[in-house]
Amino acid sequence: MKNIFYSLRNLSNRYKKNNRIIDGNTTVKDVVYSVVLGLLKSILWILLPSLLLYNLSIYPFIYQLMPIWIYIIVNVFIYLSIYYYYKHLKLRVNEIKDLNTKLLLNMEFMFSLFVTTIILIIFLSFV
Amino acid sequence: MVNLHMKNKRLKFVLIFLYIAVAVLFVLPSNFQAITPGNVTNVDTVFELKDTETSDNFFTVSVISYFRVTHFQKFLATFDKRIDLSKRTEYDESLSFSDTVKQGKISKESSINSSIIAAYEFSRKYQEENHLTHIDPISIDYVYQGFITYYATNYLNIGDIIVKINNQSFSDYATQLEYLRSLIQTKDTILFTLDDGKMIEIKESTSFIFYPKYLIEKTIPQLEVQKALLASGGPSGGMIQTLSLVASLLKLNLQDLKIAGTGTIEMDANYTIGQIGGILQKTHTVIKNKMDYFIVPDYYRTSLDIEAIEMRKLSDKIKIIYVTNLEEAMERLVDIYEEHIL
Repeated sequence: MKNIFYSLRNLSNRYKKNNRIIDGNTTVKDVVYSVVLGLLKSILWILLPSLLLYNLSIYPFIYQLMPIWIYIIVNVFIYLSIYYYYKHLKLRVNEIKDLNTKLLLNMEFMFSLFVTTIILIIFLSFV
Repeated sequence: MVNLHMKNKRLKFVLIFLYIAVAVLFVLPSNFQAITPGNVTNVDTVFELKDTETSDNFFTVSVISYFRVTHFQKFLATFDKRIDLSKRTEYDESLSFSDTVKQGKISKESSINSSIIAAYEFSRKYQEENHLTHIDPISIDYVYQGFITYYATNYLNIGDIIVKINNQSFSDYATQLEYLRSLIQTKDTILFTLDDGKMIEIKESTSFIFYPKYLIEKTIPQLEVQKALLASGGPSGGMIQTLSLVASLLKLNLQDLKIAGTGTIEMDANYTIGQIGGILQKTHTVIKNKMDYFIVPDYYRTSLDIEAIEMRKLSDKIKIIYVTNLEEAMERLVDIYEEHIL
């Protein structure tokens, strides 16, 4: 809890100071770009398997396992998004020794994902 | 170096093309609809009788409907004989998805209310005729409100309630239906009065499908309907819901027997059991869920669907009982009771 508090304060200070975060070279624009690209790439990866499963759901035994398929696909989507996010930021989580930075990265990603989901829900409710 | 770059570009282009082609194949809808086997649901999850034990021996059978399958699904369906694939009719095309959901809810609600009325009226009569003094009094107070529109090509909307025809009110569904049929036959003018007072004159021949709309005011023993469970649609659970309530009201203890059934309950003098869709898929569902008996409308004794069931020797795996009306269904139920319990 203490770590999260310090990390949040740290993140806030870095934004305030020079619009540079994490290592002092990555801009907010880079983060947004990485999140969008990460999401798009993971959508491309999971789109075909999801559509294939939807089509196969006409078979009763596949249909009955639908909750499991959906769970697997959502998880793969989240992990792929995180992977591409780090990849585009040219960072590897395992290479980052500093716990605070790791935490910051994850929090940034989860926050971006949360905002994207909210936007998507609002958009879908209007369609 | 340049060649390698060009090759990579070409490969990427081919991959993107393939990706889009496969995605289109998976998404493009065909002009076909499909019905596949579904599940069984215990009727005691819908009805709960206060101070009386609700029978847990009866199960409704559902199927899964795909309103418009993709071309790939249509191709897959040809490999599974349990899946019924049919071309969408003009009637299907005239309905949107939300119309179909609305229709499902209307027919389900009507079938639930019809089941309650039929079960209470039938049980009361059965109790009187057979002098079943050990059973508590059974009674029901309800009001017939009129037709609820299930389908209409024009003039009416799905869900409209018709309380009067040519300024005449009706106390029951059968009389109102008979009156409307006579007007259609003689090609007389038809004037519908809706529940909000709006009047609609039918000037040309058109097709309608109506369901009865009832308001149940009081039941003894008190009955609670779990409205949250009315999410699925369709009237096909009518007969088995009625039988389940009758068994509960008459305290017919069927121990561990599992009886599934399908067929509508018609609100005529005999409570006729009406036809339903997807009988073959329902039979597969019942077999898979290891039911002891499957009660179906007598219509299917000679229909092509049952021929298909016989051909696949499905009837060897389940005891199928054919019934025409509620009284016959009750007789068969007593036979089952005498065979297994007594």
